[in-house]
Parts: sequence; structure tokens; C-alpha cells
Amino acid sequence: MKELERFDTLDFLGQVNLLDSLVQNGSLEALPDVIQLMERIPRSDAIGLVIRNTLKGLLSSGEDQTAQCIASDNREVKTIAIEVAGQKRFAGAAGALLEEARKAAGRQEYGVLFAAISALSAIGTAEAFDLFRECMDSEDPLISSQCIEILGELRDEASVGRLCGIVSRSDAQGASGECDLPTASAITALGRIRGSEAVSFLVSKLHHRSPAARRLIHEALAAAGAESVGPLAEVFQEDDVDKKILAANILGLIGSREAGDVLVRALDKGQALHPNIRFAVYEAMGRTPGMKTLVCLADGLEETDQMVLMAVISSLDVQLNPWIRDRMAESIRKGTAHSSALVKAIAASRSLNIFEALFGLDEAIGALIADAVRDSGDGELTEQFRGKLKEMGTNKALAIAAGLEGKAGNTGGRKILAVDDSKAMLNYYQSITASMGLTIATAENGRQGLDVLAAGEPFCLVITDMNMPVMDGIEFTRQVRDFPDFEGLPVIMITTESERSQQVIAREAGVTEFLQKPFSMEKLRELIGRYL
Amino acid sequence: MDVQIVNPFIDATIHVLSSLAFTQAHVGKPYVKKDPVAQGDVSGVVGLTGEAKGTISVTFTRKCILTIVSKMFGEEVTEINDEVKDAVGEILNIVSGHGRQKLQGMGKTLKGAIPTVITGKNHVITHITTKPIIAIPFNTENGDFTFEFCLE
Repeated sequence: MKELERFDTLDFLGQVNLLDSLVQNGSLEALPDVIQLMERIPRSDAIGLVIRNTLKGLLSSGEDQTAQCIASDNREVKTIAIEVAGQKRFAGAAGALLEEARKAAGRQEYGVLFAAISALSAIGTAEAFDLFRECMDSEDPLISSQCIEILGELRDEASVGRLCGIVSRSDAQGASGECDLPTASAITALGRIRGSEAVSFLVSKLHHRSPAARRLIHEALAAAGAESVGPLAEVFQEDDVDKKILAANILGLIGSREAGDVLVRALDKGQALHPNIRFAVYEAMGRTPGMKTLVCLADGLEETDQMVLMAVISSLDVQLNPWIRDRMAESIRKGTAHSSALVKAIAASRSLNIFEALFGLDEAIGALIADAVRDSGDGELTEQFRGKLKEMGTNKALAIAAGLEGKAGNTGGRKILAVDDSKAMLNYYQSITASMGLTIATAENGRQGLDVLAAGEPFCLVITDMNMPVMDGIEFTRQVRDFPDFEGLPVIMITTESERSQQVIAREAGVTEFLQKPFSMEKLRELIGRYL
Repeated sequence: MDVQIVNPFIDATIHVLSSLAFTQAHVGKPYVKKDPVAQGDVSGVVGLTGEAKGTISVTFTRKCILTIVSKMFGEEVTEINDEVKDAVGEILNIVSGHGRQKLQGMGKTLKGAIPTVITGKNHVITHITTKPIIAIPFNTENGDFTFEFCLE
């Protein structure tokens, strides 16, 4: 092209202006000369970058030329053309992109393949679906994940079987705890595609061996909401305690009336006989409003296991009504051993709403609960109830509040840290440790637990759950052991986990003792006592 | 997760280390982390805003960063001092810039903040997020480092 013949005679500014005028005028006929300049002048040269931007600018106005440049032997020209095709969504370049992507896949040129796939996904041509499906199994994890993500976005139901295969393979690979990128992408894609096959499969992998994968599966199922409820209900017909607990947790997160109905049916049909399942079901019912769940929770007041009873009370505290209040009052007035357990559970669960309602109905019952609070020896608990009584402000309430004054219990002395995402469990630990004359700090996940430890206060023991959001108990223990000050700190892991392999990982992470639910208060007391 | 956003930063990392520090970095097997915590001896963190929001962090082992910085400066650096911290910030800044430039070419506009550098043996940094964190391990002949992407 004539104008470019004088390129070398111009100074830098002149060269920039000349190249700019080509783009402004859409001089596509200058393309061969611009490419020649590119081949001659490297990118690192000051004008080199401007030449490459000129090529980009020219291709942006020429769909056919872009398609031709995609097939160029010059790697730089090819890369720029692929980028432009994607950015401008040139449907006319899709054929060239597909051809180039297949060649790059064969030669394992992953950089070009990645760029071509990105461009094809931006164009959104149906012809590329087969390529995306082929590349799902690419040896390069980024290419594989990229295609999986695209197919997920496209809600490609034809890929569900192979996506399930990716997740299954990683589940079978052992319990290293790590979740590779294609597996994570496949779980997310299945969560996007949904439909009965994808959702049922995710439910079947509720207990995936990798904690990271497991968390993604739970999130996907909770996000799928109503679609997950049916498949989760089927879990209760199986004979797997861990899966039933996880299913109950997710139904709680879904929080719909239908999810609550599944929990109710599980109890009615005797599919939640194990105390750990009952605990999880009652706790989930606190988040699934509805008359049926309320009736079930009311029946749960007859539970004899202290831990389960506390889960019932905690859930009732957030959906209390006069009928429940009266039923509780009736049970407490009977004066049986169970009445006393109920009073203790209300105190230990910090159920201030129930306390206020019962106090308003019958001050004598309120006084009984206040006695249980005082007897607990738990300073923090006492303060909470005293605050509530002062807020209520009646003469009787103020008199009882005054009686609790100075009964703050243990505020000093030996302290333990309890880490658990279940509020009911934290309350349970609190009641046990208070009865042993210990003070306690609590955290809802491993990350919070580390923050508490890092603040510098001395702790003589740590109790932790295994499965928690944000940071699980295994990783938490690993990190605790990395603090030089906490190398010898006893860590008791409490969990519903029954798989042997998970216990091995926990031990390797540095857990001192492993206590499986359900356990009695005495058992935990004995275990804590052993390390004090 | 968005692998399309992550890939340009990987290319940029390899390019930057090779041209600035004559170090060949090889990408390991990417994975999704179980927790939002990174642990190492020197870390840089940069925030991103725009079409994707989140943070990118890079965490080096002591040996790895001292070798990289020694090659950058052309003299042996034996301790993690302010110059090393500056160098980590600069590496992250350039990676962030290159990566964002590539993304711009793909039609995604991101803005990068100024990097923060943290040092200290086995220090811990936390991404404030509920989203999965993609970790990309790199290895060099003088030790490993990990890039972490946490994008909303």
C-alpha cells in the first residue's frame, strides 16, 4: 500500500498518525502491509505495540478478514484475530475458530485453544457445543474447567452424564481433601443445569470425600431450592446416618414449607431414629416455618436426650406461640424428672423468648428457670438472663434479677475454646464446661476459632466440630498446630462423621481425641477432665 | 468461579517472571481451596473491581522470593527486607495490569487497586468471601508460590 511505503521515513509521531489514519478510514486493504510491519518490528519496540493495535483496529471492522487471519501461520496475527472475533462476536468467524481450536487441541497448544474457546463462547454459536463437550476431558485442567463452565452457563442437559462422571471420579480418588478445578466446575455446572438427573446425582454425592467439593454440592442443592426437596426426601429412606444429617441441614437452608414437610415425614415414619439425625432434623425445623413442623417440635419436647432436647428448644425459641408456651408450662408443672430436664434445657439453650413467655404466664416457672440459670455456674448465661429480667421490668422479674446479681460464676480460671456451627451444640458445650467450673469462648467456624486463639488469651483445651462452613475442623486443627504456642494444646474433635478415612485425616492434622456423637455429658466431662 | 478471568493472569505471571526475573514458572494442578486462608512467608494482595469483584493474592515461600528478587536486582538478596516487599508489590502490580489488559481485549473491564504486601513466617491472610477460591500452584527450580483468585 502506497501510504505505508513512506512509513520508515517518518518520525515516531508521524508513524503513529499514519497508523491511526488507517484505522479511522477502515483501510482494510492495508492489512497485508500492517502484518508485514508486525513481522519486521517486535512488540517490545515503541511503535511495535501501536502496529499490533492497528491490526486489532482494522480487524474490528472486517469480519471476513478476521476469519482469514485466524488461519494465519503467524502466531501473533492468529491470536489477535481470535481475540477480535470474540470481542466483536463475529459469527462469520465461527467456522475458522472451530477449525483452529481443533488443530490446537490436537497439537496441545493450550493458549490458542483457550482463546478460541473463549471467543466461541462469546459468539454463542451452537456449532461449538460439540467442541466444548469434547474438551471437557482435556488434559489441561483450565481448558476442561472452561468448557465445563460454558456448558453449565448454556444449561446443556446433554452434558449431565459426563459432568456426573467427573464428580464421581474425584470422589473415588480418595480422601486427600483437595478438590480439583474441573470437579468444582462440574458441581457448579450441574447446579446451574439442574433437572432431576443433575439434582438427584448431587444428592447422591452429599457426602463427597473432598470437604471443598462437599461444600459446593451443599451450596448448589440449597440454591436449587424446591428442585432439591424431592431427591433430599429420598435420602431418608436410605440407611446412611451421615447422609440423613447432611440432607436435614440442607433442607434447613432451603427453609421452605415443603422442606419442613420432608423433615416432619422423616420423624413420623421413623426414619430419624438415631439421636444425631433427630438433632439435625429438629435444628433444621427452626428454619422451616409451618404448622406441621411446629407440632413436631412440640412433640419433640418429650425427647429424653439432653442434646436433642436443646435442639428442639432452640428451634421453638424462634417460632414460639401461645399454644407451645402453654404446652411447655403444662410439662414443667408436672414436676417430673423430665420437667426438670426441660427447665435445664431452656436455661442452657439461652432461650430468652421462651423464658419471657413462660415468666409472663407463670412467675413460678420463670423462677424455676432462673434457678437453673444460677445453678449452671455459667457467668455469661447468668448475665443474659439477668438482662432479660431487667428488660421485662416487673417487680418479680427485678427481684429475681437482683438474686442473680453477683452469681456471675466463672469469669476467670481455666478456659476452653469450642468451635461449632451449631448454636445448640455450642450451648451444650457451654452448659457442660460451666458445670466443671471452666469458662468457655465460642466460635462458629475454624476461621473465627483461629482469630480467638490469635488474640492471645490462654486456653487449656479446644473442642471442635469437623464439618463447618468457611473453615472445617481439620484445617482449623492443622493451622492451630502451626502456631508454636499451641503445638501441645489438646484438641478434641466432635462429629457425626463415621467414615474411618476422615478420622485418619483428623488425626494426621493433629487432633488429640476423636469423640463421636451421640455422647453423654459424662463422657465429654471425663474426656475434658483427662486433659486438664 | 470464572476460569476465563483467571487464565490471563496465569499467562501474565509466567510472562512477568520470565522477563523481569529470568525465572521459568510452571503451572501446577489448579484446585479449589477448602478455606479462605493462605499461608506463606511473603504475600501480596490486590483488590479488583469492575465486571468481576474480588481479590488476587500471591504467596511465596522465602527461598522462592529471595531467588526471584536476587535475579531481578542482579545481586544476592538474603533477607526479606523492604526492597523484597516492594518487589512483590511490583510483580503483583504488573501481573494485575497485564491480566486486566488481556481481559479488556476479551471485553471484560476490571480495575485494580494498589497491592498490599504482608510478610512474616507462616503468616495467614484471609479472603473475605463466601465464594470458592481457586488456587493455582506454580513451581520454579527454586521453590513454589501460589496464586489465589477469589472472585464474586
